[in-house]
Amino acid sequence: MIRALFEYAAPASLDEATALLAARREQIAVLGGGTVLVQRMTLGEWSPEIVLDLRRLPLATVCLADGDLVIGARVSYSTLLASALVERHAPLLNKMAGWITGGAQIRNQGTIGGAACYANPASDVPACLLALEARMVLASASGRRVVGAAEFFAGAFHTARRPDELPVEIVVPVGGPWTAVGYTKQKHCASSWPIVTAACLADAQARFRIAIGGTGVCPYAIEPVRGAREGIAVLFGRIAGMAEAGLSEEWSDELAPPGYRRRIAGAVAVRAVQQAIRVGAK
Amino acid sequence: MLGVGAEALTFADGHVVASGGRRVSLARVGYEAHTNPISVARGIRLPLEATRSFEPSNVRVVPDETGRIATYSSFPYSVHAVALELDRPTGAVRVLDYAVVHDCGVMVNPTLVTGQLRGAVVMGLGAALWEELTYGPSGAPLSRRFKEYLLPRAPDLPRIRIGHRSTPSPHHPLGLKGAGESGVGGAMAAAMNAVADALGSDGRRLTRCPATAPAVLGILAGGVE
Repeated sequence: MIRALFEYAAPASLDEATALLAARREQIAVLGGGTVLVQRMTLGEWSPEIVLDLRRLPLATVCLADGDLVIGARVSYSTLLASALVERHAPLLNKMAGWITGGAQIRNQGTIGGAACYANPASDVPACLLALEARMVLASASGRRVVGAAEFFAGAFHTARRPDELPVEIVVPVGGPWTAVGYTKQKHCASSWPIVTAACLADAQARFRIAIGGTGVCPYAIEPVRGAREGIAVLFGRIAGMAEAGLSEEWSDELAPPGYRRRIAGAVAVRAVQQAIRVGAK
Repeated sequence: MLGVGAEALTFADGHVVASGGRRVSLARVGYEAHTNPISVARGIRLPLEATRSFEPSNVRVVPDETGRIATYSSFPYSVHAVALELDRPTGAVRVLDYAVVHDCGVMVNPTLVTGQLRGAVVMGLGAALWEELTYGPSGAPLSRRFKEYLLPRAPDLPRIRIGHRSTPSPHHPLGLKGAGESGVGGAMAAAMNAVADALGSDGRRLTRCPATAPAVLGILAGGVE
């Protein structure tokens, strides 16, 4: 149970929500699906004075607007899985959501905006948004701000979101060159959190964009291009090398010591590429 | 109840039978003794109970001339076989198949024995491959939840094939032995042996469990774990 007293607010308008954030920014926690915040409060790790619940704001829809896929911050993994728009225009997110373990409760409650703002290195969403070159739309009392994924994911549990901002939607560009996707993650076993993840987009000219998560304090991307007569084994070796070279600051935690993620990142990246190639070959 | 002396009573088929044929069930006698003792017989003392103990002949608590004692009368036996796949680039292990044949003597309830064994095997696999209590440099525990202490889940496990033999223990009146203990140790040993086998000549450097992916990768890279 949560032992500390706290205020709870579930405003019905974005203006009310951002006003609250501006006024109480030092002691406020923004509630998405609650799979992280509620647990942290129950464990006593964090005792915010006030919890801002976004549930009454219209942030849980997926639509196309101005040629982009617009995903509300409170869209759950289940909604991603069920959305025909996501399956057609951002199948990487569909694949990623399908890998989420923890059962229906986690898939129904966990939100893409919450996962992005938590920026846990050992999670699925950040690398996928980096791969897709998604843009985070943040709202505050002074208006809206758009931050690209590369700038948004700044470090372990650290994003470019300011304390008085809340995530409104995630914009994924549509109609790019990518024709196939692959997503894979390495875990020790089913109950482990992700150790290394790799999200791969591939186009018809054997160009790849691979975002690697879990390995560094924030996700990073590499963009190998297969040479005209480059053998597949040579390509994979080169990709593995790029994956290791592209890592700046390695992440480590209770499940794997320093050095492990760096050593396996290349193999995991190659697996994502293999998936994309198999998909593209169909 | 039967109006005769004790010397005229015999016991048969769950009944007390008087010479002459009149009989009353033991259940009835028990009920009457506890609810209406005066009407049952003279000198009834409640509760009606008897205790009997049995000492297996092969239990020895006094050390023999070489200092050995034997506090267990019987031991179950089992043979375990496991097939697993080692992923060399990551050190991760996947359990593909598992079989165990177990002998705990006479099985009173085979369903329970099978269930016990299945759970024991899973515990052994967990101990061999994933479960570890870890501590930081100051001694503070790092494994505080089941997200850090990794228990096996159903997707991690193959169908565990279980067979039974029954060699009744000669030292027990019903032929019983313990069931399930050999499941944990056997599974742990079989899984560790399989990982060592997968490591080939590097297998001799696998000296601790669990054989986690980082530990196995360390061995493949030339370390000792």
